[in-house]
Amino acid sequence: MITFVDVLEFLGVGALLAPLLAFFCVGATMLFFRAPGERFVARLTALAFGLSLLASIGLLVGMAIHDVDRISVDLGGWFSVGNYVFELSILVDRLSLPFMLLTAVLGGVIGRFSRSYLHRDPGYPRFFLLTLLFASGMLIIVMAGSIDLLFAGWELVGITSALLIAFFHHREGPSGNALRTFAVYRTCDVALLVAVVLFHHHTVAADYQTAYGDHWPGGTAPFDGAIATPVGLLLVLAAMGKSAQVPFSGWLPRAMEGPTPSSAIFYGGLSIHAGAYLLLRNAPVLERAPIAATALVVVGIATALLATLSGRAQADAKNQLAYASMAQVGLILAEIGLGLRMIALVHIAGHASVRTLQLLRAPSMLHDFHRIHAAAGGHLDPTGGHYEMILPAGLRRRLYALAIHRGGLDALLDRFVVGPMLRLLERIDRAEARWAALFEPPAAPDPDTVARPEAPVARDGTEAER
Amino acid sequence: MGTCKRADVFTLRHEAPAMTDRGHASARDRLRAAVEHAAHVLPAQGPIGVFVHHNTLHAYEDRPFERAVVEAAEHFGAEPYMPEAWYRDRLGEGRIRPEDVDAILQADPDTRVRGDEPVLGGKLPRRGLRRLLLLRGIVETDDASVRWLLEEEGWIRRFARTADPATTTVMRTDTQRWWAEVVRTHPAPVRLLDDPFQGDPAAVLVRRWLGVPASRRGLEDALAKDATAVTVASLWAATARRTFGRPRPGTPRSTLSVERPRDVLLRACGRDADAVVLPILIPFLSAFLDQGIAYWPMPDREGGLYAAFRSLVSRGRWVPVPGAAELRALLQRQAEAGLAPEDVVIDALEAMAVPPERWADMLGAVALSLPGWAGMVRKLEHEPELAPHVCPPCRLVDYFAVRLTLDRWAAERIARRELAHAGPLATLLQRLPGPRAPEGGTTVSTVFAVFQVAQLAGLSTPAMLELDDRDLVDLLDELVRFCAIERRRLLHLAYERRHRHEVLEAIAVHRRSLDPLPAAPDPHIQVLTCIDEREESLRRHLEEVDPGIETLGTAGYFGVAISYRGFDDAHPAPLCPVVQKPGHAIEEVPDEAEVKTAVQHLARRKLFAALAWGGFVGSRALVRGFFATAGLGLLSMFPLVARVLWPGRVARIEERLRAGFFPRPRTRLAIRRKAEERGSLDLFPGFTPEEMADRVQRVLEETGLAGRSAPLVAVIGHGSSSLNNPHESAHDCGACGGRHGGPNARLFALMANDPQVRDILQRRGLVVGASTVFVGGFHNSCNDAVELYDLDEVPESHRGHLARLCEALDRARTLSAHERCRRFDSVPLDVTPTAALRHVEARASDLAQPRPEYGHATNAVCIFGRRAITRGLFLDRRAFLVSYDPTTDPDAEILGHLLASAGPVGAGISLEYYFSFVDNERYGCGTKLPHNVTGLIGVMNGHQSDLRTGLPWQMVEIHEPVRLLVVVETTEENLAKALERHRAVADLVRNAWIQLALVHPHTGRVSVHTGGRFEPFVPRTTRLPRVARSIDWYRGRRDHLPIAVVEAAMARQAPSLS
Repeated sequence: MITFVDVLEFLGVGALLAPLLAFFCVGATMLFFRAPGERFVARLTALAFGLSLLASIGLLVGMAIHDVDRISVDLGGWFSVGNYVFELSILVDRLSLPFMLLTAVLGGVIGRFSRSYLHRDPGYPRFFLLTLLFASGMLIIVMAGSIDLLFAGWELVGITSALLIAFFHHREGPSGNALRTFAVYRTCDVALLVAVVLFHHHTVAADYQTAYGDHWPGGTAPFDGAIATPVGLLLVLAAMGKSAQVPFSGWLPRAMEGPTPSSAIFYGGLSIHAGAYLLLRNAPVLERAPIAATALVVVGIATALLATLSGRAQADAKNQLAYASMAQVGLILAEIGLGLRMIALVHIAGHASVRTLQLLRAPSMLHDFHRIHAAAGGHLDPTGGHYEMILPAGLRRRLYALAIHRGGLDALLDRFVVGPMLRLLERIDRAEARWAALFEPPAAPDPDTVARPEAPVARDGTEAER
Repeated sequence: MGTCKRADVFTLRHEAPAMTDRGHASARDRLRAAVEHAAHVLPAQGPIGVFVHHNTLHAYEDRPFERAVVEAAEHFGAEPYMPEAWYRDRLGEGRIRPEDVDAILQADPDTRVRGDEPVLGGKLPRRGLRRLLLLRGIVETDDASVRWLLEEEGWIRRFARTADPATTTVMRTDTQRWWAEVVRTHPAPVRLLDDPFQGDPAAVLVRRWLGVPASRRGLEDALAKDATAVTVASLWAATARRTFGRPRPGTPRSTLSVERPRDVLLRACGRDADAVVLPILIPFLSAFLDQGIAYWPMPDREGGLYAAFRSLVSRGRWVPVPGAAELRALLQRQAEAGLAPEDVVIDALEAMAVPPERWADMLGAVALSLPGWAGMVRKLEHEPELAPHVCPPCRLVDYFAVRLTLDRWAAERIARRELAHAGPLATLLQRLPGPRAPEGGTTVSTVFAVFQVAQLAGLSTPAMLELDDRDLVDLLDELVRFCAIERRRLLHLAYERRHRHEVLEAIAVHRRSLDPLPAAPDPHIQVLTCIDEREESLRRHLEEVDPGIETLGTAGYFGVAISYRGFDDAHPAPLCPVVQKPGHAIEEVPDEAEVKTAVQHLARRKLFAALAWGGFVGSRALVRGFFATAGLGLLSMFPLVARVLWPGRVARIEERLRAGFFPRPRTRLAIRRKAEERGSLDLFPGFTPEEMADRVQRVLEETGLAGRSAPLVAVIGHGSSSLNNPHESAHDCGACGGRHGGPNARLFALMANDPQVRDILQRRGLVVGASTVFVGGFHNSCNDAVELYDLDEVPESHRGHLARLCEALDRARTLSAHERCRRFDSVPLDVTPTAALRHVEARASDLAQPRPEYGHATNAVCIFGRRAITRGLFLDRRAFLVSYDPTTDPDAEILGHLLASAGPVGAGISLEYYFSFVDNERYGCGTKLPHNVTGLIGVMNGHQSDLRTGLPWQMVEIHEPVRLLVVVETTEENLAKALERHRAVADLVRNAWIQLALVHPHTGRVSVHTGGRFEPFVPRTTRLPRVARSIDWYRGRRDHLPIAVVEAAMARQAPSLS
């Protein structure tokens, strides 16, 4: 007998699987046959997001009508180590549903947009492949029933983000910036991983449901402040990387290297809010850890202020939007730190829609500006005026210098993190070379140096003769 | 617009410090010359909002095209022609034919002189070898790739794919016979396989690759099993034996230009100074030149680039950029010494040990390391009025001062940290080694080239081993003399030749079929459009759907150079070719009767602007941003989804809303002026009747309309509008300076209808039919909308004609849209005309559409002549059509004007497309997908990059890179007369930046300009493909189409008005 809950569970699984299956379908075609045609890829993407959206709407309506607070589906364990079982369980509740809807709608819109925008680009199937994988990762993050599964989605989002920044990989800028972004992601991912381990160390509960008890936005952490504080701080650190918070925020403007629609969905729409989701989901931990919550508020506000300052000096469409995004996400995180969960949720949804639209329209900047300018009769209200009123001239100029250099955050990271790390690694490398040299006979010259005038291939050939 | 005048800029120029030192003064003079020299090669593109096509290599126009492209390629690190493989693909698909290659070789001076010399031991003449190299081609690669190609891609086992099977069969037999002989005569089985090659290591290696045992049996087995592999491998061994390690033939080395310190240091220690400099420089330049994107404008801009930079850096104490203190100290020293930007540049050049005679080269190299930004500074230095909103004082020398200060700072830092060099930079730079020239003898890449030549020419192993040394040296020389660039040049000439021949053949045959040229029947309606090749299809379809219509073409500003301010415009803008300055101001004003609507319209628009601007700024701010996103954010889901999913429908709804909310009053143009009235800024408000008559007369005479005007003449300007397209303006009318040409058409019609003007014209002996009525209009080449102006002033008597015109226009634009759609891959080929029209409408308002239209991508031909000689020809939207009647122009007076105005414009468009297609990364601006609008003046790639100039790939992807083929209906003498008076065009012709052909006005014979004279062109065919309608010819086909005759447009019987 199929119950109503079964139907809802089926819808939940369907919403997640649709883009994932589409990804495998496109990927397998590319891997085993050849690059699939544009129309096939575009239709499959539309179908995937359409199904995902329908399933999410079905869930929303069904859960609302039948007053179901949450649906959780256990898909079994992935693997187990000792007592630990990696549970594949999904959870649909008041927090995941809005995110699922956002992902499906924005994914679908971006898919449709890219169908024309990337038309005839050699990387067309690759772009869709990565977008589908990203959407799957995003859905895994928001539908994961446990923080363990969330981590898997978290990684998918990270890697697709980096690969799409480097979409034009024959150019130097995109590759370098993608690498930098990826490095920041990975650094902060360590925090998430440690948080997961700590979490498991101190509670047997594998999933949110058993860990936090009550359904979102309620719930209490399964451990006391002494544990909650480090876990909370680690979660905050993880979110800071993904959501480009101070001092890691330097990567966000650099990420504007990919095709416009990918910038829109990642850094206007979804990926940038993943950190906020993580903290919303684990809000009970923050509740028990006032230090972590305070740190979050401080970081959020600092980011919002610095990003607003930097954004105001940016003179190009995409960097300006990157900073505008960063500032609002800073506010969102601060809201979460203050415990304003519902406001944060509404803020995320609104912000994602506005920013995606603005980024998609970014190439229209000239057209729009011209139109507004003409409509205003050739005179726009000057901006930046109240700074001039409030701040003394010297300070204003200093702030401007800080703004145009984007707070110098990247330089700080380079100086205090990257530099020492590189020096350490270089030292290790040299030490290893010295060690290795002790055990090795002197290396033979390269036999393939065919460009040598005396004998092009002699060494190789004569050796073969012996 | 143009709020800042040149004078303001001049007053800001730094006063030279009182320095009496004559040596210093001369240093400044030298610097000025060096800056000018460096500026010379910078891209000349201005702010992107008004895109004007121009020859990318304008700076090289003083020399012949074929020399210029190679020199420029070396200078910019760009490509002069398409790659060889590309031309060979065109050979494969028949776009180039072997006969074209033969003809080009026949005409090539070097081949003509040396073509008969025998090469390869008398195997074939040099001409034959060159023919093989062009038609079949060899793969040239670097040493590192050769082994991969041999082993992994099978070049050691198989003949080159391009080798002729007949030749290779002979080679195989030869080699088999030769091996048999070797086996028979060889004294011992030992070293049997090595001795023929005198133990060359290559032979040993080859044997290993092939797996042939070193014995007689082994060889025989291998020959029996795979004779081809043994043949090819033996040839490789023999070639290596003969060619490896020989003295290199003298490569024509360029005088390598000067290196920047950054290049020297990069080579010396692998640290890239630009990686430090550019992240500081680019945001600074972008903010400095910003026209209003940034919320917070840069302080101290009014002092100029260098002063702003100094102020910015000196305030940057809070910025933790590594080494910032040193930069501040450097600038501090410059300030204390009272150095003007010129002195800063000189100081830096001296610090970098650049001798004064190389300053120009060094500044050139510095400028070209970031050409887009440097070029923009230069452009705004000379034409500050191009800046759309604000124009900070720009000087290229300021740019150099900033750039060199940064370069010097970064270089010194690297020198200190990486190379432990504490002294002055100059001593280090002199110590570090220069670029290494290749040394030693020929390497495997040469062997590989000769190996392939042998296969093409049928030179088998024994022949290779016995080849005379002199022949071998000659072959190596030939591979240098007839190098890849040379081959690409000839292939390109062949590619152009095929196109030229097809076009001229069609014109010649068609012209012959019309002989004697029938007297044109009186048309009922004439339509005068821009010469633009995109109007060709509209014109053809107009003549097809209504043979009573005749179309004509003239430069799309219709002879009225005006500064125009529309009712909706904030500022006046010049509507004329960029080389002209408008002398008259025209304003669009609301009708007296509708002043109320006008006031309301303006007020509501102001409100809209306030809301939109508030939204723009607010959504990016912090607190307002919170309310905008958290409060209203979700509302933007509606436009987001609707705009992306249903662009066409949303555009229509928007249009309706706009009409509802902003009702537009009826307007008229204020054109009349009393003789003495004079406005501000040297602009006359409007025209006097005399001035109007001058302009009308000129266009009527040029187009041959005078004396034979139809009852209704429509004058239709054009432009283009699209969304999400920073290059939108590049699709507008070039003759209107990259803007919409509608107002010019409207104005022209008003002038030509003016009774006073008619009187004056009559007095001057120019007959315009008393019953002729002119109507102005506008064609949007992106969505194919056509709008006619001031229709309420058309008299009752002409209503019938007007209705007929409207119907024809409506059908023609639908068909034209349909014809355009065949080029769009995303539109199915079986789309109906109505659906096609709807498609282009949606396309123009689609945010996701990177190619709203293909613009000038199809341009290839420009024809000056009577419509009669081109009417009915399907020219595939590839020809600029300039109406010109040679029978009324005995002294080539008119022709001179036309050539001088349309020639350079057409050449500019054609050459910009050529270069953006041939090297899209260097000369063009690459793919559009990551473009990022900067400062409202240009686009960068993604997060930060150089300002990208030229055309994006999406605009040029279907272009055929040929030089514009200009066909003029005139005699040789008249052309000479015309060119005599207009040197600029004559230079273009002489230096072959355009191709030129003539059609004799009376005999219809065609002749082509080659090597300074005209040679008769004899068509090979006598018939052209004939179709009933254009649609029958293009339907179902995507590519460029050959010219055909469309019979519907040839039907000369003019149906009477029904």
